Amino acid sequence: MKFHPILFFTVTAIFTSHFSVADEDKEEARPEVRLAAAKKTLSLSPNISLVYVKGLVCPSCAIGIRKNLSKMKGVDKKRFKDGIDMNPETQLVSIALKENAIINKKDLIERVDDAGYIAVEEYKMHDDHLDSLKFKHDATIEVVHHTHN
Amino acid sequence: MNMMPRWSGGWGYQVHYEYVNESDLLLGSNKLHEGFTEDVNILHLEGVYTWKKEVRITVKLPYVLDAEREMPDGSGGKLIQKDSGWGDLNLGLPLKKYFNLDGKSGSTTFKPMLRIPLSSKDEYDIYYKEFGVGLGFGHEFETADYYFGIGTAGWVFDGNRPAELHTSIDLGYNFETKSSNGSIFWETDFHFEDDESKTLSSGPAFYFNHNDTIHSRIEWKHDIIDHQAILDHGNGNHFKIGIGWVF
Repeated sequence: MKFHPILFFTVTAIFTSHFSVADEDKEEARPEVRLAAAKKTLSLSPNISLVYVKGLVCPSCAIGIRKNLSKMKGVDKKRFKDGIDMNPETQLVSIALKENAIINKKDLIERVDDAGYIAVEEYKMHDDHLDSLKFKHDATIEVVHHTHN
Repeated sequence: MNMMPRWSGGWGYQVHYEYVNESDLLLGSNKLHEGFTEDVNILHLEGVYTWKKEVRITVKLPYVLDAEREMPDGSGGKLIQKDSGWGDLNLGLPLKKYFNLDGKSGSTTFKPMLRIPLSSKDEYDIYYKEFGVGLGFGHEFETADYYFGIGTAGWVFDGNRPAELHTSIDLGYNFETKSSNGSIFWETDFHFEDDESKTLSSGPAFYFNHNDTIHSRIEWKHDIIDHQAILDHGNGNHFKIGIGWVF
């Protein structure tokens, strides 16, 4: 077998590109499992900000999320691990808040992006309903409300 | 431990101890001499800095603690050759494109590399003291439960050392403990040299994330197929244990 580096690299590049493109096109999984988990988490953990972070599947790689978010103003570092709890099964991040603290959404989105992930939406309980506050990734950060029963 | 740090401004370092034992002296795939062994002990010092999440710099410097091989002396006896000291410095610039999906995350990597000769010439050489340039491609993704990674890297050297090609396929299962997490892998490597030498090795690896800062890894591989174009040791076992810190 003779070594043909250019041929080998070309084949490998095509192979890896195929994987990458295929991944981009892949349809997302069902959201109802995450929404049910969000409702349960919010009912069990008071005074938290609960965020869906797309791609959070590996706790080791996602350490940057905790490192970045725990530095935000208003985070209660005494709760969870440095104030942040990450669930790779549901891709939900719980941010423990100090009393009356409000998280700056633009700061949150940027910090998650800086860690290599995407902050998609935040969940809140409203009466007995779950509200999804969808983050728009532009400069103004619009919030769209959706209500799930 | 190659997946970290993914965050901008993250940095880390790790230390690996590697032990290699090769029990046969091969020419082609034939055992030309039995009982002629090679034992190598290497300490790998590695550092990484993530500039932006798409751009990293890696530095790898091996130190040969002790290497010894037995070769035929031409009169039926054994000639013992030794090597020790610093190996060659390996610089890498991994450029990554990440993707994040619901329940899946990963990256595609393009990695230019440079090898700077720092090693000394000894009775025989684990590191060749030659400039080298390399190019690597990789693709990896994982879910909460599984990991898949494939990679290939080619090297050419400014000297006598033949060009090299390394290809790897890694499969992993992720698990969680009460307060941390880890992975169990099955890793397969293929190493090819331009003089027709080729080695296929495979084995398990165990990774554990002790906390957000300290991580460790242990692995073992066995040469399943070994073909040496020149008289060299083969059919080896490769054992590695390492610990790393990220900040």
